Amino acid sequence: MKKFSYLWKNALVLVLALVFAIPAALDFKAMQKREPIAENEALTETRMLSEYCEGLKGTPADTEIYILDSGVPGGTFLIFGGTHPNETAGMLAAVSLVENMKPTAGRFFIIPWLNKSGFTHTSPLDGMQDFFDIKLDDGSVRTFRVGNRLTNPIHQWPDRTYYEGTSGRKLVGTETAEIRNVNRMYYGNPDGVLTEKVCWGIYQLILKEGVNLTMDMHEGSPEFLYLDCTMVNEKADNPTAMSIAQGMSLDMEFDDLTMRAEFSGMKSYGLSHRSLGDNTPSMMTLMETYNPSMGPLHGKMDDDLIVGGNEPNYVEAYERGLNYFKVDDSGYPLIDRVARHITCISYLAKNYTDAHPDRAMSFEGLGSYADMVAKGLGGLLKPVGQK
Amino acid sequence: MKKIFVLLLAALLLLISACGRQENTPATGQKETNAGTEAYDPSKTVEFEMKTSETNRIVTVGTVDKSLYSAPILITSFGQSTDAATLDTAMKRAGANYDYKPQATADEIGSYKTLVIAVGASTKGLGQAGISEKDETARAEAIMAKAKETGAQVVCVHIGGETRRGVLSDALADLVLPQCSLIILKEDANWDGKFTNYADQNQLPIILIFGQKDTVQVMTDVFGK
Repeated sequence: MKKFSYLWKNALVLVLALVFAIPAALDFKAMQKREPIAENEALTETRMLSEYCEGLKGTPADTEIYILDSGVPGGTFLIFGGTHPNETAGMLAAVSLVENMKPTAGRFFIIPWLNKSGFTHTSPLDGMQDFFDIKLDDGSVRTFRVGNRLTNPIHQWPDRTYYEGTSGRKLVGTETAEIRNVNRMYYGNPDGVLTEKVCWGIYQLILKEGVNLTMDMHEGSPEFLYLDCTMVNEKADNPTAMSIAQGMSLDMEFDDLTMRAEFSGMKSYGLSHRSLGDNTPSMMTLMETYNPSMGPLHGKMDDDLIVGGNEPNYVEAYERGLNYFKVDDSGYPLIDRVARHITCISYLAKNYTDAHPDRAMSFEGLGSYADMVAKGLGGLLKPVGQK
Repeated sequence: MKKIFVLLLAALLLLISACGRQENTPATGQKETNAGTEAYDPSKTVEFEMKTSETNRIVTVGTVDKSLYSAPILITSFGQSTDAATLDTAMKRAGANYDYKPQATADEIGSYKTLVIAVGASTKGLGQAGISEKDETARAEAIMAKAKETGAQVVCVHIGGETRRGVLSDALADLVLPQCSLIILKEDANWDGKFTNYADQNQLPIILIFGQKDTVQVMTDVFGK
């Protein structure tokens, strides 16, 4: 009887453990499944980043590169989102470009999920949720992951107490976790940690494909100083870079949009605009928009906040003079940020072409900022058979 | 009892480790300040009445004599902010003939009849250019001395707005103002009346603009073909 009781208790513990473990495991596994992407006739080729860094082959960090080649000789534009997976607009802007773009000059290399490993986990202690839904115009629903800004520790562990990447950035103290941050580890290392291999892949892609212009799409919380801002590396060998970026900024202003251009910080070691700009011939840019779901003051985390983009706590913080970035009741919906990223990219391509007509790059298929906002995400994204 | 104690201990350890919150480092490393000042603080701005507005974007006070500004024209920067690049773009769109040398030296300006100077200091811009505040001030002083010698017309352009005001920015503006024959100003920078008062006292024409995009129209009007 005593033995039976012992077994019964152990079985109960096991069942209880499974009650928690199975849903957690299913949830965890679900985050490892990449979102489908809709077909686009203009898509020329899909490659993996491991073609530029062999060490990524077969790892959870290997990611798709979508190539859209106009067939018209010109420049090459590399665009990536998902460097920080929780900065949602960059990933969705890249997905929208892949699904809608009709290139008319030059080639476009687009990576929606750059830190693919980062998309496989989330930040529960920041109150982040793992998925969000977008209802399309045909009634179907597309689900996307939110992810975490860092590589999943299951894929890269442990964080070292001291690390110095190829940029010379010293990761120590509170920065040790940044060894899993793609945007701290450029220009990467083929023999380094997994995150560095992603960086090396991008570095090699730029060199091997002769990329002329690169855009790394980001978002930030309103405590951050550089929102609606594009960082530009103005290298000695590319003195027109800031003028090209200011051309974009003026074009945005003519559309009643703010997108100022700012010099890349000289000490931004390991960041894409600094390290790739210094070590490749490409004009390097990094764009930031305001994401209301980021930052410590965000309230209830749900689809309304992620997609709707209205966070009253930040409105109040601005009214109290605590934020530089103006936040008001009208919110900052995801479609606005996605459209802003795409419009900035379009104007950068236009101004780059004006400055370098022999490296022309242009595309159609997405319309203006106003067109995209009018369509909404439900009209911009294509159905992929999800219900 | 022992098991319960172990479980409680494990839960306590889990709680302690979970409380170690990941630092939310911004994507781009550093915070810029206007060179020579503390960071711009919007709570310290002063209310003042603007002449320009969304609907009345360009206001000219005084008469601009366009015939003064003949080629060859040079655009340079005092303070290495992004504003010089904006001028470069605006002049290009205006169809003007000009050279763009944001770090031009006094030795290089001798042949220019018109100097268009973008005034406004940026720590990031100075850092990018590898120039110290002291060296930038020395370069500006040398250029103004050379301009006095050659008799070149000087246009003072301040289009960075209120965030482009600070100790170094103002010092650089003070070098240019005494020799300029025209001021072009994004009006929100004039919160203390610095530029309009100077123009008024010295009977200088001043073109006030509401936004940076208005630079294109002004450059077309003044320098366009």
